[in-house]
Amino acid sequence: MKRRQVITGLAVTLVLGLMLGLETHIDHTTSSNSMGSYLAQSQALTTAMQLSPKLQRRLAQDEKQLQALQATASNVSHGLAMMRQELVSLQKSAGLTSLQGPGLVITINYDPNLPVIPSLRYVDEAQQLQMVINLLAASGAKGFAINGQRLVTTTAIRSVNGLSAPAGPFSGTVQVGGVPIQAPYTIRVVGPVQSLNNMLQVEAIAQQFAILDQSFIVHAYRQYNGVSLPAYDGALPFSYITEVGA
Amino acid sequence: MRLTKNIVAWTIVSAVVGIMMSVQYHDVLLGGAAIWSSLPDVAGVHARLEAVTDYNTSLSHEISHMDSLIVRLQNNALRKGGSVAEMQRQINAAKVLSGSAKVIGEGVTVTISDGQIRGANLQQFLTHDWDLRSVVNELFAAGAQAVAVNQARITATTAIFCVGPVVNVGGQRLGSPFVVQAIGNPSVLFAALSLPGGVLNVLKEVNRGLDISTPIMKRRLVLPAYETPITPMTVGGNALSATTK
Repeated sequence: MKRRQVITGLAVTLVLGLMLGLETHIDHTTSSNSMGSYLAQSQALTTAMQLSPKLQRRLAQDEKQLQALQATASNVSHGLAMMRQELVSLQKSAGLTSLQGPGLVITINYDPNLPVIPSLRYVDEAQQLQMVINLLAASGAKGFAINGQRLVTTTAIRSVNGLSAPAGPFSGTVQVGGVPIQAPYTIRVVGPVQSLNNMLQVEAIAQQFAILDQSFIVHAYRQYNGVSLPAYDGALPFSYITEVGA
Repeated sequence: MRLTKNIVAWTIVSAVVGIMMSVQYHDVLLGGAAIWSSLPDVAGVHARLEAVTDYNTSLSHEISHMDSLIVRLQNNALRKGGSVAEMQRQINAAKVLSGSAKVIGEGVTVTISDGQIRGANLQQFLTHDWDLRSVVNELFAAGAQAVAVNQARITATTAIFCVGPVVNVGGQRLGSPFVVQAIGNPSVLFAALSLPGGVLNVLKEVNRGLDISTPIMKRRLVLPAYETPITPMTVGGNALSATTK
């Protein structure tokens, strides 16, 4: 009996020793070597590794810009040519140039032949358009125009009646970037055709419009110049905003 | 008496052996060669993380240094006037509009958080993509010149959509609370957000119950540049054609 107690006691002491050693050694060597910490560090490593190429690209862009400015300082005509290149690239991203590419043309129109569901009929048309634009953006769209109005960063799509006012189908109260537009609504989008189409189908957008008495007709154009978007020609953001450091 | 001595001696020996075993195990593990291959290489990951972080930091410093040089040269060009200055102005405007520049200005901030769960309908008390979209759209309608949600700058092609428990804003996964910052005329933006029956009012209503701060006018807001490069102008590997005005 005593012998068994001794063996049990020794085993317990051994385990306690192991635990004590692990605990003290963990604290003295590193503050984070548990599995949880390993996962956290792995995640941090993944994030850091994803950031590296972004920083490299940003640095490359900066180098290009710096070269253009330095060239301008020494040789105006050469520098201007480089600055023009940069300007075109930035204007393209900002929507300040017209854009052509493969894409979709979507027409939304009142269709009296579609079934009427009165309780669903009165919706905010601007929100409907926003929803479509958002879905297209999520599927890789490069640019949009609604009824000839090019969408840029600062473009709002808004019903003039207000969010809580009862808006009817095609009440003609939608503004895109401050410009009033009327039905039928034509959304032109440049982007990956398959992906854009898939998104609209997966989200059953045509069916959502159908129960609002609105037809939602999509035409796909796969040619390199299939869809054309006009350049944005509205006001530029200048009055309250400056680039950091400028 | 003798037995007690033995027990004490063996206890000490067992404890020491235990400590030695655990120390040995961890020394091997932290050295990068785990005793068993299934054990995580904590030290290796840690070392790589430090190396990548150092590299990113050095890149950031280099970018910061280059940015200050660029700004100095841009200001010189603007001071000189002429065609270079005009082109520089156009570049600056395009950078601000596209969201590719970090910007500063006065404006407003508002924080939107999930509400308190008070009933069975959990969905109503969560912040959804369309809630953020409505607020962002309302700010632009009121003349905002730049908007960011947390650290995600909004651009012309930024999508805001729910992905499981988070909201994806321009490729960045964001969780509540959502701090919406907008640069523009602060009093106009404030009024737009405070409108009775307006977008924030709707989100605060009993059937939604989101926790929304009072909009705050700020003299100085700094909004980050769009984090990833603006969507490349290619579709299926083909460059899209653009024409300047």
